[in-house]
Amino acid sequence: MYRSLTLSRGTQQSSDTALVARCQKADITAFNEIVARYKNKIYNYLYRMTGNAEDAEDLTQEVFVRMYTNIGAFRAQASLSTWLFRIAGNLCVDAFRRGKKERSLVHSLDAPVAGSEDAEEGASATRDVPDWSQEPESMLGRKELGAHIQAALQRLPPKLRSAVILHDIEGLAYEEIAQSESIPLGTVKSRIFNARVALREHLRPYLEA
Amino acid sequence: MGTMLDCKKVQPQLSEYVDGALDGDAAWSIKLHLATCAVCSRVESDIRGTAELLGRLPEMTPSSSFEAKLAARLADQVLQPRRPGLWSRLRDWWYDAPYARPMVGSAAALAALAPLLFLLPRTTVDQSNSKEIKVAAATNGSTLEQVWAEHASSDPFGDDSSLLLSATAQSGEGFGASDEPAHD
Repeated sequence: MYRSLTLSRGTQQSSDTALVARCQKADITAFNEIVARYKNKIYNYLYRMTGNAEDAEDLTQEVFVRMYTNIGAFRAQASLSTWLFRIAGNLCVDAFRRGKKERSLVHSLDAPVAGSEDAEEGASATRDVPDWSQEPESMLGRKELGAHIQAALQRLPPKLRSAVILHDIEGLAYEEIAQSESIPLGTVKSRIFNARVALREHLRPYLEA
Repeated sequence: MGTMLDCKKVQPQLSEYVDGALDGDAAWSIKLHLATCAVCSRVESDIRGTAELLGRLPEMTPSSSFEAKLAARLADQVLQPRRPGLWSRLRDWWYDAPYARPMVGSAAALAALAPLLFLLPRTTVDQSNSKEIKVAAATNGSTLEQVWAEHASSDPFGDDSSLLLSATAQSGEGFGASDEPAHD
């Protein structure tokens, strides 16, 4: 199993290298192949980072525009996927810095619900979180589960969020994350550990189910 | 039961343990500790559960119009012809106008050599001698123009000794030419 996975990754790596070489010679079909191969992974990462479909799609397009304009500078020291995730991560950081995306994304479970009577009165109203202990069946609802996990992800600091998304959702190895984020391996491990510990507090109802 | 120190060492490694990233000995030590420590065992179970929940999230996909929007964006941002910059326009001109290259090369060489004109020594009278000339003129009673003319003709390099010699010769002092016997 592990061996076949490694072989599969190796094959894709060499295929990526060939695609990049063609793309560097302005072969638009190679560019389209790269887009087709990675658009879902990049979009998924950006969706989990931003929590917003529109922002994720906009940023994903920007990732491929940046890839197209900078493909000449790409060297095969890193894998193509690592490079793309790095571009995506940098774009996310820029977007969060501007504040626009972060504001639209963070739906804190403790924050007052906009438009609610309590919010207008300035009371400490909180989002309507289902009482999972009373309705165990509803916990199985995939949409609700997904929304709750997404809300928990949004509460993490962006650095921890990015590390845990890349590892647990996108399936990148520690070394690949270190390369993508330009951080030491030990930092990757501690970020993933801290992110998981923080997430388990928010996801405890699911973990105890 | 594991000690507190053991738990402090073990818990930061639980994430790697869950991922199977620890080597054999380290993984075995953790496994032994977990078998005897309920607290760490609970943390390990939570971390494993959290990772599994994240891994079960469905993959989100972009809209069906993603490629069309991307193509439009690329055409708008990247493939749009832009006015070339000054450097690229100069480069194009250089390649398109071979007849102008010798002229440009000569002009560049002249421009490079121009500073040397100011650095080379000049053959004109050194104006720094003017003070001594005035002193000599006052001493000899001759006009300033006469002393200037003598100085210029006697020593092109502005040597002070010849000026002083000529001044003393005219006044009849020292070892001037008048003391020497005439050679008829």
